[in-house]
Amino acid sequence: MKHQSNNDNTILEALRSKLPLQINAAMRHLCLNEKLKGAVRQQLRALGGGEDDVREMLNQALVVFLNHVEEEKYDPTRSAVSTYIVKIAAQMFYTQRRSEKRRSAMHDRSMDVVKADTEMNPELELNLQHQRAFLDKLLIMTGEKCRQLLQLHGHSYTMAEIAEKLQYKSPDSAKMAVHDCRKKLNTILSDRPELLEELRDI
Amino acid sequence: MNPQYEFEDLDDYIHDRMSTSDRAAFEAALQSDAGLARRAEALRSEAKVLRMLRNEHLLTQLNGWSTEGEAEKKTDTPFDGRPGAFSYRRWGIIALIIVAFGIVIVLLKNQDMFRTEQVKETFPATPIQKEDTTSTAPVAPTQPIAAEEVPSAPAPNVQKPATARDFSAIAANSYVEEDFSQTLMGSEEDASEMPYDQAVRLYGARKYREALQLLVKLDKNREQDALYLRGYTYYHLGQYAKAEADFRKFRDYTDSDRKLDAIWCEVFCLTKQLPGSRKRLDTVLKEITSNPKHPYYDRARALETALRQQ
Repeated sequence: MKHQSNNDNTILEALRSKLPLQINAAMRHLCLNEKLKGAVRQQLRALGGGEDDVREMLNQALVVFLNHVEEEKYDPTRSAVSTYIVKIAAQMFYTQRRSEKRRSAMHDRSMDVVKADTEMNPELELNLQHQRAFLDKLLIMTGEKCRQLLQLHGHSYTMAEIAEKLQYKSPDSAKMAVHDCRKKLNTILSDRPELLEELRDI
Repeated sequence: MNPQYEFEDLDDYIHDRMSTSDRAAFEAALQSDAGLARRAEALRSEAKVLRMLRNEHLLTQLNGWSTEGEAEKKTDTPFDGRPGAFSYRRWGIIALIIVAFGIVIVLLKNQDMFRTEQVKETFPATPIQKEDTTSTAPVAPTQPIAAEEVPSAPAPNVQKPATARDFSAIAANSYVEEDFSQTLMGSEEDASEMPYDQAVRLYGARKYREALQLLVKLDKNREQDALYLRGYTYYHLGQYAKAEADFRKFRDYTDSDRKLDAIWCEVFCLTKQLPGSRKRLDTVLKEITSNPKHPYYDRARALETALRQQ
């Protein structure tokens, strides 16, 4: 059983709130935390990563961490927030490198890091890239405006906030636009079973 | 397809907003209407798409904050980590770099003194001109040092031009892999398959040279698919200019699903040809960033920033 710091509890409360402003504040706090970044840097350097990898992996790890919190996969009694994020980042980087056929050169060094007591499946973490490729395919068909609308809708922004951010005349106009985009998305997914199939596998 | 049920009805069903009798009727229709069942499944998947879009939005925000944070070098409240280990290592590395730098300066000074002595011995009557410190042209290391080129001190701030190696990380980050298997006509390999399908399978097996042989002449029925695949094949064979040319041809098609993707493909081909392709790359990036609706708008902006920092 790990000691839960007040800082960790505050972050978790914000991430579980489902309120975009609170979630953003917590994510920004983690993103700008130099100590967390330093810890990720230390792990990734050991795996042969550079400064660009540190930033990219930390940011991706934060998104995965948020998903784990929402899906209740993260158990705060087993590891501190920062430790967990560092492990995700290291695993993602290791998996990415492995997929780039560099495994043999780094295998021995990296296994020491990856063998840590985490229960995450590294293959799952690569999903972010797969997801991005899938969304790019959908975007061609739905259009960029719909992508922006659905991003904010998916982030649980209110219609008033969406209207303000995307410059709609009123929350009602934004609501109608979101509705139209959802309808469009439904039509595309219904008409393209291969996309639906792919989505099932992501 | 059951025309009596609209999107709103499906939405009510999925979100449990139907009365018991309506629900029963809807479920009966679901059993007999495959189209309706597919629409319902598509709507159930919407939550997953929304979450993916949310993640994408968050990543864009995080990348923006990181850039801000790097400018501010903000330190935050502590967390349960081990901050000491990295700091000691970092300071150790910095100390080593300072010592190494000092040694290099001392060695260079000694070498210069030695060279100056040599020159004086060889050309005793020739006055040694002072080096023009405003010049940034580097001297090739293999050239013999002529009397007028003898520096009085190590050349200050001589900037090396960026090489392709310097841009390798940028090139790697901009590459986007394409799954061509989705464009296959048949589901399994068979002897009668078309050259394009064969090429896709060879590409999937990383047999790029063999794939290219099948793509030299483009199949008229699948011209765009074949052209796109050929661009990727050239890319993997390291023939970046040819790949770029193939992707550029998509600009000539009035109707193509791949038009916007092909522009990004031009970008990653150009990053592989840096630094020579810098002007062309800047032009294509400008084209993308001038359109905030372009699907690669964010990536193009990020790439522009990375190039500026290079």
